[in-house]
Amino acid sequence: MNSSNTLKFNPLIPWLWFWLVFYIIYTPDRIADWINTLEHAKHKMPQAYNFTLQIQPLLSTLTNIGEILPDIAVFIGVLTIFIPKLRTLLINRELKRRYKCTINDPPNIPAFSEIKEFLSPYSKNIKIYFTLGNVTPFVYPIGFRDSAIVIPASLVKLWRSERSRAEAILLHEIAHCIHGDVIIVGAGSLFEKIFKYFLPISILSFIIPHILLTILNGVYFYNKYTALGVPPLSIIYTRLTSFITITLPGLISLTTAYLLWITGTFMLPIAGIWCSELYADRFAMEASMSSKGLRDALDKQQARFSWRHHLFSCLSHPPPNLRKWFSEKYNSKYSFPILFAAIYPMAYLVKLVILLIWDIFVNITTGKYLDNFPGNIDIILNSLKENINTYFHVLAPTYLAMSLIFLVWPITVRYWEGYFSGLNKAYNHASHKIYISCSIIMGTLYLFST
Amino acid sequence: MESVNYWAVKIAEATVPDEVDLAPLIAQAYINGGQEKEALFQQSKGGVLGAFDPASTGVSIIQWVFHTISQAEPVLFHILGAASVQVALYIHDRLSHKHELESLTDDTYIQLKIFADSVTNKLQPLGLPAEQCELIAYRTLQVLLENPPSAKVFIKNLGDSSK
Repeated sequence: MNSSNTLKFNPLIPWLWFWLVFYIIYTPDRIADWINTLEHAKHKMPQAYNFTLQIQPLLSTLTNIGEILPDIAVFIGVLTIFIPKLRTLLINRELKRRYKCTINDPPNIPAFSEIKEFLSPYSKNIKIYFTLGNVTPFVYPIGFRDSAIVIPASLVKLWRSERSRAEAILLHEIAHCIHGDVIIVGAGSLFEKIFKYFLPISILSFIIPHILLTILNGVYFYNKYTALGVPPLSIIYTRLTSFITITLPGLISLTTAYLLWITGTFMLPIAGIWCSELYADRFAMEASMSSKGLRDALDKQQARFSWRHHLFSCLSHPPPNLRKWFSEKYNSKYSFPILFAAIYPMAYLVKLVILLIWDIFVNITTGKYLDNFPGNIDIILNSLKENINTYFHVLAPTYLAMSLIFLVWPITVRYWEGYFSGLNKAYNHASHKIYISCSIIMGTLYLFST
Repeated sequence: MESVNYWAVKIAEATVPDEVDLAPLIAQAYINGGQEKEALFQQSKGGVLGAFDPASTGVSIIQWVFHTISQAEPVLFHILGAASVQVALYIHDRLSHKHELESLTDDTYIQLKIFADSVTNKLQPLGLPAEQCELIAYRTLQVLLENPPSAKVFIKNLGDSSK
């Protein structure tokens, strides 16, 4: 076992916290946007038919609520971060309900004593518990600073049968405690759960009003034209043709646009979560000075049960193949800068691309981009260019903050991690040059954006 | 009379040595019954609390060995109390000679086979190969046969938790 006092760890920026701080700062603007969206919703006509139905404003409002639901989901998730004790209650409930087990004090057995001794150099502020249930090791907060790790019987067995794999798994979990991730993510995190539950709710709340409106339009026109003496079959044929050639492509396009909107909304917090998981993997490799244990653990990961399970898993963890790829690059001199420098800032660029595609879909659906196409190509390109400029301009403070954090993090990391772990780790100062380079890049982006 | 912990450790040492530390705890949880016992066998597909799924950490199997022992109480009592215990000892001393075992037709061997099959049926779905399951079964019997009267008390304790 390697003591944390003799190792030098690479200081990795807690991008998840970076995202959280900026999210909180912009919350008043966000709430104002929601109110504005809901106020205008009553006057918005989702379809260009000139008739009034009492139910139509309600459906329009529902559609707009569907548009802001993903953002509300993230907001509620953020609020739950400030109630860590709630997580303890939820964890205990989930363990009882799903796994029929409880969290217990550590048993007085040799293997567990060895595990505690193994973990002790990495944290003083972590409580260690045990469970007989068939769960995997997990961490959860027991306060704003302190956290707990629960070790199941299966890991005690693994400690005897495959020590390196058991150590890697334990080090990964303990890394979340040291890095301060546990209060945001980890077992019982409502922040992650809300993503999972709001996704289907958001989609349904957006799609169902559109479908209902389509049906109401159909009924309206059927009644109107039968009253005028038009044969019913003729009306049905016309409506069906209109549905297949106009309405259905429009619904598909709107739904695709909505899915892109959701992806854009969740992109940054998920990028932060993925960073925290990859950093925890990195810590496990650095502490054990080998990637073998972690790679063995990742190799054993089962193929996901279904595409739905795979999708929801990606909300809380990077795909196993991505984790394996990073673990294979452990000794590569590029993996470290890629890890901390590129993933989270790159997420902003990915988000930009997603929002641009969303914008194109919306404008195609409303017909704006199709009028006089391709004659209006210059107008479209100018519109996209303006959107890109606006996006970078809005992000200017973020780039400045990133530049500053790259500069100061090598110095402040010991206080940050010391607060959560209660220990004083040694850090690799050779990485300062990389941090300074990244700070310059972000500073340049800031200047370019203003 | 040896305790539950003694038998739990002996059986684990012979069958799943990696679980020796846990065996007394698991045996006691099994005997206590109720939710403690239920937790030992609860499988939850897709539910993962940490960053690794159950395949990465593996599963403990000693509780399944105890469960099979408890379910096979009548069979084991027959084996342990067999008048032809010398035959049984002859068989368990020659575990590697499978073809010889299969040629025996007396009642004791049939009971042994029933127990081995029940262990295989319980452990094979957990991913263990059939040969390993049979080995676990026969090694369990080997341990129990070291002290049949005490073993019967242990088996009864396990069996009572099911009632």
